[in-house]
Parts: sequence; C-alpha cells; structure tokens
Amino acid sequence: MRRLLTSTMAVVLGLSLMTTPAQAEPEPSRFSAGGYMRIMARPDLQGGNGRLGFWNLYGRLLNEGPYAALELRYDLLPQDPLANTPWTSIHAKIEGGSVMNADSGMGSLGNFRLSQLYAQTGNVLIEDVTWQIGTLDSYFGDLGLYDFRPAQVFVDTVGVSGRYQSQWVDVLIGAGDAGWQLKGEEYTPILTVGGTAKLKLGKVEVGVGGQFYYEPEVEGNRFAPHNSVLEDGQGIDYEQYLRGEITRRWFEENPMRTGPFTEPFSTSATSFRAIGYLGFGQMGPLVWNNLFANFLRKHPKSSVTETWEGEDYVFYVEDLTDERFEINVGNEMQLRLWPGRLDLTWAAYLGYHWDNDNTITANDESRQVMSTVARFQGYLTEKTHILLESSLAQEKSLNGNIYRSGADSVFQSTDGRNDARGLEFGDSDTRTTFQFKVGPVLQPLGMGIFTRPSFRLLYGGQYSTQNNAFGNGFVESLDDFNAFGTKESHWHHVVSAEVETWF
Amino acid sequence: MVLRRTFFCMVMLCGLLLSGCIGSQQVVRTKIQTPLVSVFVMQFPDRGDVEPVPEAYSNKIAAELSRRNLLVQQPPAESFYDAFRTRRSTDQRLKLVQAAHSGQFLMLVESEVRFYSYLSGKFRWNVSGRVTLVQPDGTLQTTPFELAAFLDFDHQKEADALRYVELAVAERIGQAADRFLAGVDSVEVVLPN
Repeated sequence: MRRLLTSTMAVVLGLSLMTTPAQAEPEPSRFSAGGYMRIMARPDLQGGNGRLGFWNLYGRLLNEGPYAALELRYDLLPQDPLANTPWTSIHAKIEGGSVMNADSGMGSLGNFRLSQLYAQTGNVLIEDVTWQIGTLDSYFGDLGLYDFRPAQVFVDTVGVSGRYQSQWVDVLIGAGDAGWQLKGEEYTPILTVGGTAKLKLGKVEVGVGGQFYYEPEVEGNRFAPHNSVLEDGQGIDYEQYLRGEITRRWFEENPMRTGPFTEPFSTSATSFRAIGYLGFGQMGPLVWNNLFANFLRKHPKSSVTETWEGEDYVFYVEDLTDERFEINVGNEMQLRLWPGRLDLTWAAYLGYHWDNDNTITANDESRQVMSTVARFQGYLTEKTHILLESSLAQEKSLNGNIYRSGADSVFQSTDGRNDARGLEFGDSDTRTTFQFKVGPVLQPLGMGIFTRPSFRLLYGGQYSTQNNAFGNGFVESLDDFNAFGTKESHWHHVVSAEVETWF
Repeated sequence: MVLRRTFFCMVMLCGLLLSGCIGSQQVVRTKIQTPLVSVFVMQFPDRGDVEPVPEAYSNKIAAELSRRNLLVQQPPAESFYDAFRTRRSTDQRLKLVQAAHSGQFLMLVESEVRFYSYLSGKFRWNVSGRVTLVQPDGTLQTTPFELAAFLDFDHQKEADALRYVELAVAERIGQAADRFLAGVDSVEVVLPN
C-alpha cells in the first residue's frame, strides 16, 4: 500500500515538473466605483452665503454648493468578449449636497440619498438588448454649463426598460411607477410609459422621446386624485385657494355652520413630457452642438390642508393645478477656437412656463426665463489654464411683480402703490442678471473645458437689478425696531478656491 | 477697501498656484538612446475585436518615454491583431511579439475600454490595462493601470475615452518605465539625483 502511494506521488510530481508553468491572468475586479465631487471655500465678505447668485440659470460655476456622488457597480455575471453569453450588473448611486465645514448641513448623511439602484442584464431573450429593472433615469445629454437636462425621461420612475443599441439607432422603451417621486408620503400609483429613439448618423444625431403619466381614479383612497366640491355644487375659488382662505371665507358667510363643507369627488389625473434632441458637429472649429427641448404638462397636485379654529380641512385641488405647462429649449456648443490654446463653450437657455388656472399671482410657474453663458478656457501650459466665463440672464414674471429692486419696494407692490392684500410681490416683474468669473485653473489630466479634476481659484462678480440677489443673512423688515437696518446692494463679489472632479 | 484686499489675496494665491507648475520631474534615463519595440492594442469586454489605439494616445506615451531616452518603435501591428483576438492573455501575446523581435527591449500596452454609466451629466468609461516591459533576456515587468474617462457626448466611444486619459496613462507608463530601467543591467542608466 505504501509502495503504491509512493509511486503515485512520484508520478504526480513528475508530471507536474514536466508541465510548463502557466502564468495565471488575474480576473478583473467585479466591483468598481465611480463618482463626482466638488467642494469649495468661498468666504463671502458681503453678507452672502458664498454663492454668487440664486441659481444655475447664470451658469453653474460659483452658483452651486458642495456636492458628492458615489456610484457603485458590481458585475454579477461579467461580459465575455468571445461569446455572446448573458451578463448582469448591479448599480447603486448615493449622492447629496452637504460636506462637513462647507455648508450648513455639516455633511449630515440625512442630506444624502440612494438616488439610483438598478440591475442590468444583456443578451437575454433578444441579442443587443439591455434590460433594466429598478430606477430608470435616462437622458440624451446635458447642458454642462448649466447642469440642466431638458431631454430627460424616467427621472421619477421605478420600473423596467429595454434598450436596443446598434451603430445607427438607440431605442429605449420603459414603463413603471412614478407615484413615490411625485406623491411622496401620500403615495398612490402613477403609471407611466415612455421611451426615446435616437438616430445616429455620425456628424448628425436626431432624437425624440416622451413619457406619459396616468394616476387612476381610486374611490375611497384619500391620497388618490379628487376634486373638492362645495354644497352648492360649485368648485373651489382659485384666489381663495391661493391665499389659503377657503375655510375662513366659507365660515364668514355661514357663521352658524360647523364641520366639513366640501365633498371630495374622485377622478383620474394625467400629465406628460415630450423631448427632442438634435446634435451635430466635428465640422471645423465646432466640436459638437447639442440642442435639447422639452414640452411638459406637470402632474396635478393632490390636496391642501387649512386649519380653522383648531380643525383641519382638506381640499382636493386636481382641477386647480392640472394646467401647468412648460417649454424649455437649451443649446450648448463646444468650439476649439485655437487648437491647443483656446476653447469656448457657449450655451443658451429659454424657458416659458405658464399655468392656465393661475392668471392672478406671480410665481415660478408663470414666467419666462432666458439666459446665455460663455466659458473660455485658455491654455498657458498643458495643465495650467485661465478660465473666463460670463453670463447674461433675464427672468420675467407673466403675472405681475415678483422682484424687489430696492429695500423699500414693499411700499410699491401694485402699480407703484402699497397693497397689503395684493397678489404681487416687490416692484418689478423682471430680474436681469449679469455675471462674470475669471481665474487660474490647474488640470492634471490636461486640456479641455470639461476635463477633470479641475483645481480653480476664481473671482466672480454679479450685477442684478434685484436688490441683494444672492442668499444672505440680511434683515429685510422695514420695521422701526429692525436694529440691523436694510441693505441696498446690486453688485456681489466672491472669491473661491475649489476643486471639481469625476472619478 | 474690502475688494482691493480681496483682489490682492487673489493675486497672491494665483502666484502660489502657478509656482507649483515650475520645476521639472526627474526620471530614470538610459545613457544612450535605446530602441523599444512597442505594440499598442485596444480591446473590449463585450466583443473579441482588437483594434489599434488612437495615434495621439501612442504618441503621448512615446513622448513620455523619450524623456527616458527610450525610442518607441512601432512595428506594423495589424499582423498581431488577428492573433490577439483569440489570444487574450498577456503571456500568450508576449510570446508572439518576442518571436518576431527577439533580443530587443519590448513593450506591450494593452488597453481595455468599457462603458460604465451616465454619471452626473457625463458618460463615464473605464480604461483599464497593462503595460509589460521586457528586457532582451526575457525578464519582464507587468504594471496594471485603471483610470476613468468622462466624455461629454453619447457619440464619443472607446477611442475618445483613450484620448481623455492619454496624459495620465502616459505618466503611469513613464513611472513603470522608471522602475523597469532602474533594474536593468544590459544598458547603462542614469538615476535621478
């Protein structure tokens, strides 16, 4: 027995010595992580919160705060380059806008969210089709200077989609539920179906798409769409709804009555979004031009609650909020003006938002916005650059005044007259904003306006027709007891040391 | 007054930032210019194709290596691509290259490009790969690299992703060459001070 064992071991050892040692190729890691971060130090010596203006309509640069995103991917079943076998991957994205010592949120994890979670699988059932289950966010591209994505679908949807991709076409079809995103804690299912189709012709690309939402009528579910009707069969008055005075007015007219005075009637609700895209480029100095557009009807709101003499009264407002529309068009072109020396990215944005139910009060749902932003980047060396950006924007309210051009404009709210019951605010229906930003940039990965990481030291200036048009700690009250007084300021300046990168 | 002080601070900080660009990185150099037979390949995780890399990508690497007095020589690589399609391991591929260029310094740069996801407005691609440097006596050194490319447009594909990371890849390969040259006996090298 021992002899047999010894001879067997000798044969095995001999064979192993004869075999050419194979060099093991390490299996690529199945787990990978990517992400995005920006953080800045922007001490604001003018009393602001460190952002040059109110929002990205003036260009994202110096108007955004800190942000971090982490996207994780795990290849459950990796792709095989030599065989068309099924593959599967899982993706999760965590993101949020707060960092310790950089904003008031102090980096609390409560400011972060699991914004995407989905699984993809390919070569299952149909070749060249990728199936996705989970969150479905998809877009044709974005306006990098604004960080806007007008041509986006399924940003609010959890469901299932299939994407067919070939050299010439890219077709996405999906369906799911947008109820959690649009209704939150008052969830009811909002069924949605949509898709995109893109034709790719090399120097020209054309895309169209859309998404339709349907919130079904569900009798008995208080979160499902309803309309409140008064005892006399009339609907709710829009102005009373806006002012939050439905209950007060009714009890003033009916002082002997108590308890609810409206009845909810169930209904269904619909909304939609249509998107378009035209891309072209690789012609002379034009690297690429993206034109995006959308036309959307916002989903109706559900209900409002008023409190009167300690009692809560719920009013359903589907019919008062179902005609809110938006048209948004954005264009961005990248130009190589002087190869290796100077690049330009130029963008423009136009938005027209209106509400057929609301013709009496000024708000962000009844306005026209237009803007243009241009960013030049000059290359001193491969990694040391100079950035110059400027923007000009105008926002105009369609329903009267909404902006204050002076600290005392509260006295001039309607046609130059003080109107405490007015539905306007301030003394101007238009806000015009001009910004410019300049400074050196270090980019270890080389040239390119959107190459990252980007270490920047920037000075930014803003002029706005609105008084104090930036987040600030000023006291706006005209009360005699306001010890701080009011402040008049149309110029705003910030200096920023910041870094931005994808990784 | 506040503005003037802010402007002054900004100018000072500009100077500090720009001063970081002054000075050159020291590298390991061969005493005499040494030819380096180099094969560059681009491959994909979802198909078997093996394709040439963009010219700018290989040129950037060649420029980085020329600082080390290495002269990149690219033989016609098309002859390798068909064979590389089925030979997926570095070991198998090196044997082919060594058979054609025995007794020379060799470099095989394998770059694999793969779409990762749409990430905060950019199209993220993974660029992973290996650079293998071989001495005339067959001693080799393999160094992996992995980088991410962020492209602006959907129509940009694998070659654009390589262009995005060409500077970083060239620097990684330069560092790998430093380690490789420092251990070479067959040619005289000059180490940085």
